This record gives sequence, C-alpha cells and structure tokens, in this order.
Amino acid sequence: MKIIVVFDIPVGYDRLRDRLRNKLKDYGGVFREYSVYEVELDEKNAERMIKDIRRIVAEGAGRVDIIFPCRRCYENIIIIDTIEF
Amino acid sequence: MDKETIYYDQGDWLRRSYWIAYNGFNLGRRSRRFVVEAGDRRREIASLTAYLLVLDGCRRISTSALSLASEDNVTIALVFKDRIAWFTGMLQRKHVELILTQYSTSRAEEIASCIREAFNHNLCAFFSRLNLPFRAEGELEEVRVNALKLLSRYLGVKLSLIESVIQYLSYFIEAECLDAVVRAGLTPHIGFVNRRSLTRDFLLVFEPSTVWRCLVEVGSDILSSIDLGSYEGRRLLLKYLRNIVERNVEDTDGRRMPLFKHIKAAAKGLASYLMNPAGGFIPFKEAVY
Repeated sequence: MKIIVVFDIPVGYDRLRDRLRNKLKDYGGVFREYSVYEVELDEKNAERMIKDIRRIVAEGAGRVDIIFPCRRCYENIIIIDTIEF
Repeated sequence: MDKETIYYDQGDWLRRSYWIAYNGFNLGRRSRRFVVEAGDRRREIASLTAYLLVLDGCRRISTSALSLASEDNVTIALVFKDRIAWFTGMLQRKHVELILTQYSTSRAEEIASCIREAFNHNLCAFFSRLNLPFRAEGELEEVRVNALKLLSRYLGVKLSLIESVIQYLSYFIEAECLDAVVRAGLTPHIGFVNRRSLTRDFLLVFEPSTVWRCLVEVGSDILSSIDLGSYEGRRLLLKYLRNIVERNVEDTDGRRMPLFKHIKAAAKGLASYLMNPAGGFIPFKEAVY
C-alpha cells in the first residue's frame, strides 16, 4: 500500500530529523517534498515503520502525519509544479 | 516443509530486482540501504525493496553491503565477461529433504523432457509471432542453432553478434532464475537438462520469451550499430529486456502475469513437484494466439 509520511520536526532537533529521514529511506521511502516522503509497504512492514517512527519522535519533539490513501485517492492526487508552466 | 524453507514473506511482491550496468562502480552500505557509487553519481537502494541485485561493472563490494544482503535475503549476482558469480545467504538454511529429492529424483528424465518440450514450445511460439515457419526437430543444441540462424536471417544481423548479445542478456535472466530457484528452496547446482546447473535449465525455458524477443524489439538497426563493449550500449539493451520481463504474459494455463513472476512460479512449481509428484510439473509455456 502507498503511504505518505509528512513530518514537522522543530528546529533544534536536527539530528532527530535526520534519523527520521534515514529511517524512511530504509523503508524505501522516496523523497517528494521537504518533509514529505512516499513509501510503498505491505501491512507488516508498515506497522514496523510506524513503531520505528514513534520511537524516534518520542526522543524529541515534533509531529508526523502518516496518510494511507486508497488507490483511487492516490491516483487523483493533483500535482502542480512550476516545471509544467 | 518448514517455514524456513520459503523465503517469500508477505511483502515480497513489493520487492523488485535491480540491474546495474555502469563502468567501475562501488557497492557499499548505509544504514539498511545499498549505496551504488560511481564517480560523483550516487544512488541508494533500500534493501527492503530489493530481492536481487545484478551488477555489471562493479569494482568493489564492501563487506557491510554483503552483510546487509545476507541479513535481508537479497541475492547479489555479478556479471563477468563469460560467466556470472553470485552471493546468497539463503543456501545455508535450505531444506535438506528438498536437496536429497532433487539429487536422487527418479523422475529426472521426465523433468528434463518437460523442460525440453517447454523450450521447443516457447521457441515455436516465438517464431509464430513473427510469422516464420519453424519446426523444433532434433537434439536440443541442433534446434537452438537452427533457430538462431533463422533469427539471424530474419533480422539481417550477423550470427556472431546475435550470439554475443544473447549471451550478455542471458546473464540477467539467469540471475533472475537463480534467485527464484534459491528462494524456492532448490539447489542451483543440480540440473536436469544441464546436469550441473538448474538455473541453465530455467534459462532454457525462458530464453525465447525474454532474450530472443528482446532482440526483435531492439531491431536490426540498433543491433547492428550497438557496441557491447560500452556500458551505454549495454544499458540500452537492458532497458528493452527489462520492459519485456515486466510485461504481462499469458501461459498455456491462462495465468497472466509479468515474466519475472512466471520465473518464480516455475521454480516454486518444480519444488512442490519434487516434494509431491502427484501434482505434476508443467514448466512455463507461453500461450500462442
């Protein structure tokens, strides 16, 4: 399933942010925007990833939104990029 | 079979293989990712997303990358000029009963004839798509040589060039077969047609549908101008082959899925046939329309 991870780690917790980015990349996360990664995982690994994210965030401060879009919602995402203009 | 024998877990359908052809790159590790570095170019591959890495032009592999491959059951195959070498951490956990059955199977000749028949069928299916009349008669090697000559005439390309392109591309399909064989719990060193290599047996079955079709899709213009010594030329060929392997293909049983999944299904089919002969063994045969 496709998972979109959006995070906001405050200034002062830079190492924590790096660790979170690294962890997302370990799960095959693809960089979409600053603080936005897209991951494709099965249920088992998704649960494992959420646990890891919880553990990392608990060591400092910040907020992570984990979005599970259904296939239809995912396909209907509209991307507006200046490259197109 | 115990749980250890089957290495596919729930998320394996999300994993893919990576074919890397680049001059003098290094394979390293960072956290749980493979790092491919060549000069100032760098690419990371999460080990969770890979089941196989086929490396052509690799200069150095770090021990930590090998350790990661072993931990996450990623097979690494290295392409050399005339052979492939491979590394897998899965063999040591193999089910011994399966090895013994594969070694001493009384149905070896039956399996060999099934594989030969599948090769002939796939070859005929390949030529029938090109509207070329071809009859697979005689010994295996004879059939193959005749088919290669016919393909060479059809494409208008020298036979030697076709053979060298086929040999190069076959390494990548062989690596896919190897991974499928090992994951199914079979040993790649005990074959039925090629006595010392099961992967070569699987390659035989899949060669017409993958490598040979790739030559036709590449076309005679590109083929005759391609330089196999350059990595640009190799990458171009691999792009075509990758496209074919990921394409949905229907077999004679009506199963429609990408060719690399057919490879895995064939290996699993052979493993279950060896353990339970009542099921019967039908290697991959491409549907003919």
